[in-house]
Amino acid sequence: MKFDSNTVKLACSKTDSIIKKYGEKRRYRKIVTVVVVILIIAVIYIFVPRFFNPRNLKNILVQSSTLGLMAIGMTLVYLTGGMDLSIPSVMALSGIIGAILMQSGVNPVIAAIITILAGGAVGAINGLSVSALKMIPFVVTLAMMQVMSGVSTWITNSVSVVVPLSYINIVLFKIAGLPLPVYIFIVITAISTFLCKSTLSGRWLYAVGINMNSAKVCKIPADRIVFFTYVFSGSLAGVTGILLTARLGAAGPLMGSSNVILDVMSAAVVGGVSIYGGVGSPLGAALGAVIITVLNNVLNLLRVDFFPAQVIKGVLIIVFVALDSFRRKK
Amino acid sequence: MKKLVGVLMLILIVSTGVVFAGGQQEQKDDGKFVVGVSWDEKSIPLIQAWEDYMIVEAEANGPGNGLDFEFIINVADLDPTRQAANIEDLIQQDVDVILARAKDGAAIGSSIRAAHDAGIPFIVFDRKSLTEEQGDAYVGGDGYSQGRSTAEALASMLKDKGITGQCIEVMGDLKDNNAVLRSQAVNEVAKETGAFEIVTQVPTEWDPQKFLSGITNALQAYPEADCIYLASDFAWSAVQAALETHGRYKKVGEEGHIIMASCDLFPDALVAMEGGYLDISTTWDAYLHAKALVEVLIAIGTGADLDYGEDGYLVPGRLVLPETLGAMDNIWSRDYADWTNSK
Repeated sequence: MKFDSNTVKLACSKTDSIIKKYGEKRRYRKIVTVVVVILIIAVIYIFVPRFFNPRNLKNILVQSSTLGLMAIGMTLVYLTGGMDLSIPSVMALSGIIGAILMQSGVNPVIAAIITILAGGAVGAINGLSVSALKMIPFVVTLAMMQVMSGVSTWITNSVSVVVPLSYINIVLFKIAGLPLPVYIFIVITAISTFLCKSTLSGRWLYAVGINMNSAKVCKIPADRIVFFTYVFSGSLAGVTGILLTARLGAAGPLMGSSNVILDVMSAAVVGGVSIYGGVGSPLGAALGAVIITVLNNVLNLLRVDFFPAQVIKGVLIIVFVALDSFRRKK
Repeated sequence: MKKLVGVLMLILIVSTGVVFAGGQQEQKDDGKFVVGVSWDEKSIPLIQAWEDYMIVEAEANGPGNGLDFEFIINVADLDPTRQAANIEDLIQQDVDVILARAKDGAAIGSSIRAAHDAGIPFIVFDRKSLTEEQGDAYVGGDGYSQGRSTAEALASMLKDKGITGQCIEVMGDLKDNNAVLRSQAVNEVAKETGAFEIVTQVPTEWDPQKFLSGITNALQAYPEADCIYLASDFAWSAVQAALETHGRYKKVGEEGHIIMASCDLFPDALVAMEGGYLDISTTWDAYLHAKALVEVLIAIGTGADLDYGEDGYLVPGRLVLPETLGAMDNIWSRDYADWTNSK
């Protein structure tokens, strides 16, 4: 299909103005997120003073880091209008591969690099399936989740692979009282937010998510952008696999249980990322991960029973998705 | 970028301000002995039974030992990562002791280490830690004695009938230590007594679907089989379906009855025993497990020595036969529902 130059200019200027409009909306959304965080902190201060124990705050940051990294990966995929349900199972398989390599005497640094590459490779398969073969992201990544889960169980016989203490000590090494995963989380949040907001590729990402066809008309390499978001998501799943394996002291198929994907999606959605594409940022998803972790932590500290806690979390997610849908209609 | 830094700074300032302005810590209730419980799941009634029996036992026996028990309970929903986070949350609450049923025996080690770093004793329950970190005590059922109890009763029954049994062994998940021990026990009893031989072993990985297909195929291959040993009867409905397929689901005394011997006595199996379809079982005793747990908790709370074998505090099951079932107390699969309703 060919378009004359006037049509292309019109489409591109429209896309550009939509992106600017969304940019303004994003600013408001971020302010709203920050206000929500402050309100939550105030409420918690009144009802759960134990929450502010520095040890607990550190604990929350550590717990948020792994969830946050997966949520950032999911966010980039969401921004293009896609979905990656395979993140937890890719994370588990990557961690298992790294753990098996270490058990067989491979240097932990090399094992960690291979872990990330393994995640990226699975992401590349997802990306190719969606961008080149035009397969539906939900179906592709759901199937990939099943495949990864099967492979993890197959190669481990369902028995988790224990990693050496030296590896745990390296990955959980503390700087100024905070373990390394927290810094990795902050750095990746900052870099990915910068890439999304302040670079041409980032602009393309939003353009693809807002309207794929318009983006293609504007000569944006939409398929390549979509492909790389899945590779990025898979690679971050690999990074998470490294961190979580160290935290648990072992890697096994159960690490990628289906419950994890709900937390990842919740973190992104609560952080203002739209599941319909084109809206949100990695910083928002990172904040969303902190909010989800805080919610779990506070429910535990408040000694809320398991089943009501499930209901509360589920309702919260429904509310945020409803708000997103409502905003989009407006 | 400026905005990004601004947002991060704002959150940092607010958090830090609140932390240092507040800093007030909730004090643990005076005199309470707080037990943090981390369940891996709560989708099966056995776990709720453990919990309820444990609380009642603690309330009954704590005061006499100078302990006023309080329980903080969380559930990991089958996710080892969530369980690690839940246990970290229990540590934040300065509990006096942590008790956990591990979702992943290899991943629980890091939680045990974290608890010990915080000076909190750790009890591993029902599933052992597969790491070097073993916790301060292990409490669980004795899979070997349970399997042996059932197998010996089966051998005795066959001897009384004057026949050498041709038995199908339905195994559990051989990655589960209890399944391995139950299999070991029945094979040892078969060799020692000569009362029965295992004609085939059916692996199930604790999957009800495999109970159904495995038993169906085994009965097809060995129609002469006259007894079945079940490593667990939790999937009784699948067992029943397989027997029905071959027309072998018959009561004791009916033509074609196959002698059924099981471990656990889950609710469906209990109904089957009451109906005359299950001949022998040995309990996986929720009540006795809870009682043992409370004894260990009291020992930790009072600083008494933990006196048990190197394998941990292992609770044997109780042999149940149709004629003894009615007279036995605290069979959780029979009494628990009534007990909770009466509370």
